[in-house]
Amino acid sequence: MNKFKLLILLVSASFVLVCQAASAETAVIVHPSNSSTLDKTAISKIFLGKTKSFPGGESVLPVNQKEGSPIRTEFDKKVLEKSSSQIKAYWSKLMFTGKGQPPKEVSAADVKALVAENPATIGYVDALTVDSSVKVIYTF
Amino acid sequence: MRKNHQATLGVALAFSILSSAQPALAEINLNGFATIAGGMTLSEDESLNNYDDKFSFKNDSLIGLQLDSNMGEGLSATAQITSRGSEDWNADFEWAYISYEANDNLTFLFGRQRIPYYVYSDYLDVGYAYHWITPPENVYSVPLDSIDGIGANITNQIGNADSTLQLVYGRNQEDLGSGSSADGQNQLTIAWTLNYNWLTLRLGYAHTDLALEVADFEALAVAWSIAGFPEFTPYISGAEPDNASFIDAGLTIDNGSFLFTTEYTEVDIDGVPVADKTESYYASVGYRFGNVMPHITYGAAESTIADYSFLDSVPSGVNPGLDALIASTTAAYNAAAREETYYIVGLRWDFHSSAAFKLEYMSQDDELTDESDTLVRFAISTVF
Repeated sequence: MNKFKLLILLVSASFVLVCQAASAETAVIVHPSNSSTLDKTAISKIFLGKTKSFPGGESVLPVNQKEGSPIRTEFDKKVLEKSSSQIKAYWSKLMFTGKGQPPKEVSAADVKALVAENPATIGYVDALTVDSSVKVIYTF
Repeated sequence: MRKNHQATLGVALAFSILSSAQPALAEINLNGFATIAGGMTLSEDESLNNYDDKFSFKNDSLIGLQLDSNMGEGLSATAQITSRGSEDWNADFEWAYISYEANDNLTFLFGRQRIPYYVYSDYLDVGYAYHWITPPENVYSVPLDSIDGIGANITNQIGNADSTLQLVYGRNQEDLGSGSSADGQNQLTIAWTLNYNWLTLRLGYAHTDLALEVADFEALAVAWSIAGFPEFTPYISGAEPDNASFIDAGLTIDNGSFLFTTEYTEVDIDGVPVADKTESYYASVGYRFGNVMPHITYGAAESTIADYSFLDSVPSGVNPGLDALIASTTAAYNAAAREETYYIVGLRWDFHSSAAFKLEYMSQDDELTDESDTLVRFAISTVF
C-alpha cells in the first residue's frame, strides 16, 4: 500500500514538473525604445531573413540562441514552425548561394545584453529572466 | 639561418601590423558542406550515372568550404572551394564573388557564380539541403553551370508571398576535354521564384550564343569541306556561335511533413549535331516521419535529334568515300537520340543535428534499346 502511495506521489510529482517545464514561457524581446508591434509571422520572417527591417523601416538584427539549446528548438518549432534540421537545410540553401546569412548565435545572457544595448536587435529569452532593460513584444 | 631569422621577423612584423589594424579587418566566416556517397549497379553489364558493378565512392562524393568576409556597408567577399571525387579530389572555385547589398531588396554579385538553371542548381552540391543523394541526373544535365559575370538578386513581397528574381549575365568558357570546348557568350539567365507558405513556384529561362566545338564534329566538317561540300560546315561545326536556350518550370509543396516537388526542363541547341531538343521532367513525393523521410521519384527524358536533311543533296552510291562520310555523319546525329524513364525509391534519415544518411535505389529503362539499369547508392551529407 505504501509502495502504491509512493508511486502515486512520484507520478503526480513528475506530472507537476512536466507541466512546469512546459509552461515556462519564452519572451521575444526588443530594445525598450522600440515601439514596433510584431506578430508570430512577422517575427518568423525576421528570423528567416525574409524581412530585413522593422515595420517602421529601421533595419533589424536578429540574434539567435545556440543551436541545440532547448529554447532554440522550441523557438524553431513554435515560431518558425520547422524542425531544427529543416532550419539548417533552409539556411544552407541561402548561405552557400550568396542569398543570405543566418542570424548570429549567442548565449542566453548575451541575447539579453545585446538587445538591451542595441535598438536594432531582436531576440528571445526565458520570460523569467526578463527585466526592464528589454521590452517583451511576444510570448509563447 | 640568418635568412630564416629575417623571414620570421618579417612575418612577426606583418602580424603586428595586421593586429594593430585589427579593428578595420573584417571577420571571416568559415562554413562547409560534404557528401560522401558510394554505390554500385546491381549486375555486371549495367552502368548508370557513371557507376558500374564495382562499388565506388568516386562519383557523388564532394567536400566544399566557404569563406565569407563581411566588410560592412553591404559589401562582402565570398569564395567557395569544392573538391570532388569525380575529379580526383582536385579543388575548384565554384563561387568567387564580391557582393553588394544595395538595399534590403537588391543584392549584386560580381564574379564567379552558379547559373540558376534548375530549382536545385544553386545548392546542387549541398546534399544536406534536399532529400535525394543528387537531384535526378537526367534532368540536371546541363554541364556548363558556372559563369563569370554579374548577378542580381531582387527580393520582394507580393501580397503575403515572397518573390525572388535572379538575373545572371556573363560568359562561360569551359574546356570539355579531348579537344572539345564550349564558349557561352552573352549568356543571360533569369529565374523567378515565388514562395507562399507551403507552396513554391519557379520559372527559369536562359539564352546564350553558344560555340560548342566537339572534336569529332569539327573533323567531320573538315572532311565534308575537303569532299567539296564546304556549305555543310555551319550545320556540323559548332565553331561559330549559335542559339542555345533553356526553360525550366518547377513546383514544390512542402508543409513540413509532406513534400511534393516536380520540375520540367527543355534545352534547345541549334547548329550542331547534338540533340536539337531535350525535354525532361520528374515528380517526387516524400513524407517525414520524425527524422526519417521515405521518398519516391518518377521521371523521364527525351532528346530529339537535329535535322540532317541537308545530306540529301549528296549523291549516294557514287563514291565509297562519300558514302562512308554520309554514314558517319548520320551516325553522329543519331547518337544524340535518347529516351529514358526511371524511378528512384529512397530514404533520408537525419541521424544527427548536422548530418543526414541517405539510401537510394534507382532503376532506369532505356526505351530505345529496351535495356534497364539498376543502381544502389548511399550517402552521408553534412553541413558545418
